[in-house]
Amino acid sequence: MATPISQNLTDQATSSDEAERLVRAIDEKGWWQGSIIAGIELEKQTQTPTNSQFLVIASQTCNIYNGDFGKVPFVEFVLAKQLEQRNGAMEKGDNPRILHVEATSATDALNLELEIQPRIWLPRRLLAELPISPFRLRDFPLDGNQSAKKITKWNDNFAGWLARSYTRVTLPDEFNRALKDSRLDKALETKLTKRPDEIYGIYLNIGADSDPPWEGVLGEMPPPYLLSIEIVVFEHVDAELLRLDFIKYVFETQIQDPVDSSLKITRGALARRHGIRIIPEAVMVKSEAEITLKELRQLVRFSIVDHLSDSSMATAE
Amino acid sequence: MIEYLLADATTPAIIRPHHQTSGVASFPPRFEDLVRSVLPAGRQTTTSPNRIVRSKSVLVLAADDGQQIVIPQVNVTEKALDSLTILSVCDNLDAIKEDLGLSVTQLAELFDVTRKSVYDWYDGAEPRSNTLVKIDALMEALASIPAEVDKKRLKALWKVPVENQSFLSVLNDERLDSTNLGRALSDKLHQLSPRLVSSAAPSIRSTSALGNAHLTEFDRPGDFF
Repeated sequence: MATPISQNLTDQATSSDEAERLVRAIDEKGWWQGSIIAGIELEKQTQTPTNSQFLVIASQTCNIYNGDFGKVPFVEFVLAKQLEQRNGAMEKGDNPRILHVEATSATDALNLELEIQPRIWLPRRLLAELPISPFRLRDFPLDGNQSAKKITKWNDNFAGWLARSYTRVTLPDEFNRALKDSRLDKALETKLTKRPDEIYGIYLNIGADSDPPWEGVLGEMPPPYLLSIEIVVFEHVDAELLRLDFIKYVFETQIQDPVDSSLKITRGALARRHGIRIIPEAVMVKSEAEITLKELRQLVRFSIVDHLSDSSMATAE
Repeated sequence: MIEYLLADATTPAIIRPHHQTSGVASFPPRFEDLVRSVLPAGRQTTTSPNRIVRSKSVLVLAADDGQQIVIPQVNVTEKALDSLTILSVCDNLDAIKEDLGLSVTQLAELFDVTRKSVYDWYDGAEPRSNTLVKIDALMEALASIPAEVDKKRLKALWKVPVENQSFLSVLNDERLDSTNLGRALSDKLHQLSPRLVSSAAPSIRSTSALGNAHLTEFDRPGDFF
C-alpha cells in the first residue's frame, strides 16, 4: 500500500552545517510526532501522488530532530482521512488496524481516521521545506472532572497504538475458537463495553491444562487450557462488587446450551466443554494501584476486534 | 475429632477440623461466649467471631469484618462430636489467597506447584500430604503476626533472603516437619514484618505528563482473531 515516494527520493550526504540548518528549519516549523501535512501539499512538493487527504508523522520526535541525517535519513508517515465524527470504540487503540483521533489547531479540531498499514517514508530533509498543517495530535492533561477513560493525550495514544501493532501477542487459534465458542469472549466484551468508566482493562493468563506444563511459545500451545481473568479497574471502583458480579455472570447465570436448546448451561461449564478450564477462584479484580509489573508480565490484554462495529462501545464517547 | 480447651477455661470448646493437624470450623454458640470470657483484657470485638482459622498451638478467631483474635494457649484432647460444620482444603486455600491477596498463579508459586495443581485442588483433588502440612503451617504462621502487618505485601518480599533464607524457601523446605515448619515460618514473618507494615503514602493524582504509550512493553494485547 505504501506509495513509491520513499523509493524515488533518497537522502544525500549532509554536511554538519547543512544538518544544523535543516534541524533549525524543522524546529522553526515545529514538526513533532503527530504533526500533520495535507496530502495535496506533499504531492505538490514531491510530484508523487499519496492518495491520501492527510499524513501524520509516526516517527519519534527525537528522530525528527537528530543532528545526523546519515543515521536518521527518513521520517515515517501514517496516512489519514478526515471524519465527520469519531467512533468512541476506535479511539482507545484496541483495534489493531484503525485509530480515530482528534487533531487540534489553536482554534479548531479535526477528526481523523488513521490506518496502520498504509505508511510512507520520506527523506527527513524534506521537513525543512514542507508546509506543516496547523493541526496536530496533541497531549492535554486530564482535567480533574474528566473521566480517566476519556482520551486527552491523542499523540501518546497514537504512539501506543503504533507500538502495540508490533507487540500484540499471538494466541493459539484453538484458544481463540474455544473462547468464542464458549461465549466467554462475549462475557468479557460485555464487561468492557458496559463499564468503560470503571474498567482499565481485562487481562488473561492462559496456561496449558496438562502435565508436564507446556514450555513452548504461547501461540503454539495446544488445548486444553487453564484460564485466569484479571480485571483491572480504576481506583474509584469497588473491585469486590465487580468480581462477584462477574463470577455470577460466568458461573451461575445459565444460557441456552448450543448443543441442545432444551438445556441450560453456564458460560463456565460451556468453556470447559470447549477446552478452557476456568474456576471462580481464578477471577480477580484489582485496582490499577494494586496490580504489579510481575503480574502484568504474565498477562495478555483482552481486546475487542471483530465486534467493534456492532458493539455498544461503538457509541461510547 | 479434636476437642480444644482454652487455657483456664472450665468449659471445653469443641470443633472438628478437616484433617488431623488443624482445620477451620464454625463455632458452636457456647464457644463464642467462652471466647469472649477469655479475651485478653481490653480487647473488644465489634462483631462476633464466627470462624476458627487456625487451631493448634494458637487459636485465631476470625469475624466477617476481618478482625482476628489470637489466643495463644490451647490444650488439645480428642473427643467425638458430629454437630459442627467442617470446612475444606479449599476454604483454607481461600483464606490464604484472601489474606495474602494472591491470584491462583501466585498460590501455585507459593506452594511450589503447577498452576494446574491449584485448579485441580479447587476442583476437588486432594493436595499431597506435604502440601497439606505447608497449608497448615502457613495458616498458623499468618495468624501469629501482628494486626498492623499488611500481609498482602508479603508476595513482594517472599523471595528476598532474610538471614540467608527467603520466606518461600522456608515454606518449601521439605526437611522441616510440621511443627518446625510452622515455627520457622513464624520466625521468618516476624523478620519480615517491619517491611510489611502498611505505608500511608498519599495517592498520586493521575495527571502525569506521561500517557500510557510507554506501558506497551508489558501491557500487551492478544491477537484475538
